[in-house]
Amino acid sequence: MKLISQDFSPRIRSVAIAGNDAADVTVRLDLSTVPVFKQQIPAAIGEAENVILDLSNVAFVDSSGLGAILSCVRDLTASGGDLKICSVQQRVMVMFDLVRLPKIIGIHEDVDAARAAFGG
Amino acid sequence: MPLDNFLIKREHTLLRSVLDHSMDAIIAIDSDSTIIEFNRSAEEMFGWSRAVAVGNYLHEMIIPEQHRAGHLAGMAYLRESGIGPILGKRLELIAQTSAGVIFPVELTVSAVDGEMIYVASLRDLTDRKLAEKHIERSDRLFRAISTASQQYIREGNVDETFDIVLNEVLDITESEYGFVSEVLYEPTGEPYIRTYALTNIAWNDEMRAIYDAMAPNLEFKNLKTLFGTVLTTGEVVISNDTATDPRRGGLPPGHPPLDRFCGLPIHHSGELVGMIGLSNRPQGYDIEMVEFLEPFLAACGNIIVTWRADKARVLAEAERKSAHDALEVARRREAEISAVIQNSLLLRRKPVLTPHGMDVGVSIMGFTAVTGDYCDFVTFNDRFDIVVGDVMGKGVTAAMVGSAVKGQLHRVVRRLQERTMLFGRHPEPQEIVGGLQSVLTPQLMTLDSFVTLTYAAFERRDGADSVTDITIVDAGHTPILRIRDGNLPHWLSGDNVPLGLADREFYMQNSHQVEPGDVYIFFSDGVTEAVNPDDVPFGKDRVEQVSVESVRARYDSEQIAAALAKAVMRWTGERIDDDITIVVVKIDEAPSCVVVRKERAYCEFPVESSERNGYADFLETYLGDVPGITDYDRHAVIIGVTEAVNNIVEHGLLFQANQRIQLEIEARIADIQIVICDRGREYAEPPIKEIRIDDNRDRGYGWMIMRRCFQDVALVRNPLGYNILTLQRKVGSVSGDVA
Repeated sequence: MKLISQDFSPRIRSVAIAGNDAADVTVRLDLSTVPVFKQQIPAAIGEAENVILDLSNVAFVDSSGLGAILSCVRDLTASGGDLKICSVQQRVMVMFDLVRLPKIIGIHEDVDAARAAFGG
Repeated sequence: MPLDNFLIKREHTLLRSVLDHSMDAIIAIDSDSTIIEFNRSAEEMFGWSRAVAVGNYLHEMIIPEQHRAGHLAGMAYLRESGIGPILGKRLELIAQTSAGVIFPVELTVSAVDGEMIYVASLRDLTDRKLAEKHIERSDRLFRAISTASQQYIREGNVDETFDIVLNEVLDITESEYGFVSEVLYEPTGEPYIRTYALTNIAWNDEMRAIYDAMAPNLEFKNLKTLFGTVLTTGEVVISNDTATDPRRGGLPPGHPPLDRFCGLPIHHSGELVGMIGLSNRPQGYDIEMVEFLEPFLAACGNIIVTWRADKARVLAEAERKSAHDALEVARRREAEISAVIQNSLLLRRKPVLTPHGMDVGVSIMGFTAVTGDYCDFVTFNDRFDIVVGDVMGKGVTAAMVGSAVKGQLHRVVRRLQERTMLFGRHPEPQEIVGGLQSVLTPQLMTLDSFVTLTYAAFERRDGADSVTDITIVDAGHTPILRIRDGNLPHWLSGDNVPLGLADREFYMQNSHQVEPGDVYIFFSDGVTEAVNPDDVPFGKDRVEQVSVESVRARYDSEQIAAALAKAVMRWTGERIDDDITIVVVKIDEAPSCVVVRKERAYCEFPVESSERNGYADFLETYLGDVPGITDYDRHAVIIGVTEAVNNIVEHGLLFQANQRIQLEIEARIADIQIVICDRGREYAEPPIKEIRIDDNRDRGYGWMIMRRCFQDVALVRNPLGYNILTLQRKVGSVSGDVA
């Protein structure tokens, strides 16, 4: 797993979760990959306040992946920023739906929609 | 050459040839015992050459010292009277070789006509004598085995039995001293012996006092000895020169010398149970003797093991009696203990798996006393079995027997299943009850206890949508009440005897057709036997009456069971003194809801993370072609199962290697059921945690996700040490209607 950051403005940065092969759309954010995610995410976010987490390559998120995402949200909101999620595959969306994640995190169709939601 | 000479020479040659090739030793003597012929066999037998023998006196060459005078007297009498009493007779005597070795011979002596020449033909009897002696020894040995066994059976006194054994074995092996002992083990695992019988070799007053006080049950614990070597190695120890044997431990001062020793281990079913020690056989001990004693050792092993079992039985009886006393003295405490046993082991409030097309309700009450009531459920693919039973008696013994029954039930089912699956079927109820009876009857008879039970299998016959048959084995339990069409009570029963009364009872089953809407009520005798303050029992009629009312009121099975339990309570003035177990099965009225969308499938996978995700592919494949389920269902099942598996790996198995997790899935019309089994530590469902941003922990959401994926989550630890997690998801539900 690797995280690919892209800046849209000084305030908004997207972080995409990708596999070692960029075309891999079956990346899992679960018990086995969460340690890698947690290790890389501070550098991937850097100084950005508002982060778009691009899950287009992620096919599966389990409870530990959910925990890791929530942890990012917590850190960003504590420093006045926010996290939005975009490009969620169907199975991941079912999981988010089951835990009612949309009630606390903005989940968007794609990166553009998420940027628009950040007002940038 | 004249013809006569020629004939004489030919005759001589012929005679020489006959003599030389005879198997027997042939010796000819003249009237004063001088040897005149000594053939080749005689040379071999006696070790003298013909050249030396011929011309010497017979008695000096082959007759042992003590018989020489007799021989000479006989010869003198023959010379004078011409009468030889031994002539022409077959005799058994002893002879002596040139080396002085004495051995048995058979001989016949004949006189040569007209001349004072006597020809003796001798045959070595050593081998035959040995064989005869061997046979005689064997005879004695088997007589000794039989005497000892009969003595034990008749008297039950192991010391006396082994006293006989020891005397016989000393005699047969020509040993001077010996002992027969049992092998016991210290708490530390070190073996030692306690003698059943031993030769009294007390050599001073002190030893005599010890012997008199303790004999025959002396204990010897020094393992650095010849007998200790038998205990530590489990092998035969032969030492024909004990003085130089490095294994010797030395003897206490005054102990008579033991020059030769033989230690014989007594094994039974692979376990060292006893030992025989023998010493001072004049000719020493050898493997031949050990082999000869083999059947004897086996017989001793049987006696020791039988005796141990008898002793255990006597102890158990004594313990049972004292347990009975304790029951009177500390009834309250015992009731507490028993209640714990019963609640944890015997009673299962709810079946683990919900059977198709039927609804099961259980009501169990135990108030002032504890009995051996038990109930359990066994689930097969298309069958659901209920066992309701009662152990005779009350208290800890009954509760323990009850738990044994329950434990054995699952073992028996599993073992039968291993066989019957070869023939593509499940074990029949009568096979299961018969298996239980084989396993339990010996113990139950020992404990003077018995068990009544009803075993009922609800089964869906080929292709049917719902339960079609109930097959019952009744082993002396209260009958089952069936209510059909809401108002037709009927009692189902059989006529088998309870378990533990007869060890050859053949259990018969009977089958009945099941109809939609049928209600079956199983209960323990605490229900019908509960008495009111005027001592009137509740009885079967009231069971019928209350049950019919509940069925008419369209209660579900749980409510029917509760209503009956409540009625019994009211009847007794809230003072029941027996446990009450009620199990109610209600067959769905609309059978269509139990149609299976897809046959149950099974998958087993290792815990190791690299291979673990195989179950996800299995679920994808299974769910991929199930008609009528939504994508949402498919995703939710996989998400939920992932959490369940992670949970097992993290908590139940603690990432232990080489463990497996078993998974079953069945898609039915109404729901998808998944059963996940593991053999890890017991774990429990934690409090459910909702996600919150301001919560500073980012873990612990697994159970919450599972609960959102499945409407029903049940976790049970079964008696075989499996965690069984059952998950059910209503087909077509989404997040909104899950919570």
